[in-house]
Amino acid sequence: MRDRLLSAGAVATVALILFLLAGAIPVPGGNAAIVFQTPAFLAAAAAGAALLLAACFLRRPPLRQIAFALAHGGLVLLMAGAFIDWRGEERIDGVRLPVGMGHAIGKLRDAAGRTVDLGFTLEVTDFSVSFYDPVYSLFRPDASAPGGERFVRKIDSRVPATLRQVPGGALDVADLQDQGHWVPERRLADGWILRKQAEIPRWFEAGVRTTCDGVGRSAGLAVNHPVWVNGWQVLLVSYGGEAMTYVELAFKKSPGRRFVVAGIWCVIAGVFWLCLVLPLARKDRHAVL
Amino acid sequence: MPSFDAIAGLLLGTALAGYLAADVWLRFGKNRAGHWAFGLGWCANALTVLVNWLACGHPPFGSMVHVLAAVSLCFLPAYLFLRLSQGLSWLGASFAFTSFVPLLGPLFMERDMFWRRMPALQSPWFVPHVMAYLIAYALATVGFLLALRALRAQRAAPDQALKLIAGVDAVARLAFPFMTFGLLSGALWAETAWGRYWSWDSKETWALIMWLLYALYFHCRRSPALRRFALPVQIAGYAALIVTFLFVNLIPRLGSVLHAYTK
Repeated sequence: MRDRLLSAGAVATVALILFLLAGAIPVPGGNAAIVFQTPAFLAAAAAGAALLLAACFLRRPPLRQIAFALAHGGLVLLMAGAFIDWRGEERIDGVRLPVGMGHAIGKLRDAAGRTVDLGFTLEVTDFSVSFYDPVYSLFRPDASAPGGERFVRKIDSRVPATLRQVPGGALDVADLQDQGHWVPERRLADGWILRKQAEIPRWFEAGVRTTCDGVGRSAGLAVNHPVWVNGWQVLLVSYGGEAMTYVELAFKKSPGRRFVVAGIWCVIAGVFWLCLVLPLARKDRHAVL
Repeated sequence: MPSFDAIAGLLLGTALAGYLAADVWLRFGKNRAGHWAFGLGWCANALTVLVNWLACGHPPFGSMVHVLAAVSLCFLPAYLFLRLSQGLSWLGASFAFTSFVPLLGPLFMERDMFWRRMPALQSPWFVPHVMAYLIAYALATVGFLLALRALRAQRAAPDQALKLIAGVDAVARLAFPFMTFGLLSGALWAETAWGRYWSWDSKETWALIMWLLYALYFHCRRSPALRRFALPVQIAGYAALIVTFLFVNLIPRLGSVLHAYTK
């Protein structure tokens, strides 16, 4: 029975790997990942889940049984959560909200055009962004190049050595600043020129105020720090406008989240237990799992 | 005052020399000298990573130079763990050699010391996720080399092949939990950063292929009917690792959109 299950599991794994390869190899002008929404892929995943579940019920020594069930059952839990989310997740992307205008939203339109009532209102009260010191591009005049100039090298404002490599004498950081702001470009001797590359944000965050069932709450919203309100996860995606006048948010309600998170931790615990703890506790440490 | 780049270059050279000497000495049975050289190489390697960290001000995983220096750092602790817990001291030369190889890259690549970490990477998951993968990649490299040697030895020297396969098992058992943690912590991180555990991005898909192949290796080893496939599966797993680690970032057509943070 055990050998049959192992063989069937190996076949299911190979089938899944073939599907994954089909989805990972780029196709001209197409979305290869669409293969992961086909009934055939779902059937292979379901077969894999059924085999994982069946394997959990084979008899083993008690400690090994728990570790095995965590690793294999956790995968089933994770897949079940992912399936629930695939069928029932609500997600609204690209929601642009003005900053500090007192504009609160409580209803949104999803990708299908339906109006979704969030069950709470949210307004963006403030927003701040800070940038790293910039990198400049050094160009030299070249009549044969497009635009009459050719890129030479990067000049990093944080690296004094590169500032010494510009023609017409060494630059100082202060030479690239005007009233505390980094200049967009600086002309050098013999027609050479320095242009500021797109600035990289160091950090950005928004202050939001939510009102749910008459209860107001203020919170900070940043990348990697979503806000949870009334079962909705609110994510800060981006910002824009000439003076950072709006932020772009995403809203997500995920009914399978608990299963996925529980499954993930079960798999991690089970695999560590199976691969690291049990072999070290065994006399025959060189035996396979 | 010497620049960060010059110091890092000097340390890299020292680490390479240490690892190479360790490999040669351990191969010729000069274990004491080999272990000292391995330790010296590792210390220089650790200082390289520290200099990278000081230069950019963040955990240094921002460029291939950073990552390769950090990968090399994972071999000695893993070897010590296997040696002390399972008595696999004969793996020393393999671990010294595999510590040496990744450091060749940073020697010839442009060392952009002042990497700027963007907000999406400023997460508590950043270091554990990356470090788990680096440990797994380091161990998988040793496993791959042992698997190749075992395949070659299977006909000519079956006893030697059995010993090598035991080494592959031990290394894979240590690598797989870290690979699992890397994969799944990435999903947890993605959920807080993008609101999605999984996006079928090419890097994610290749990482899952790699994980499934390593999982398949254990299942093949466990089943008498499938045991003959175990070593080829181990080698295929490493091929998938190389695609995940290098090709997805280097080949634009395989390019990962969501994991395009590093250069």
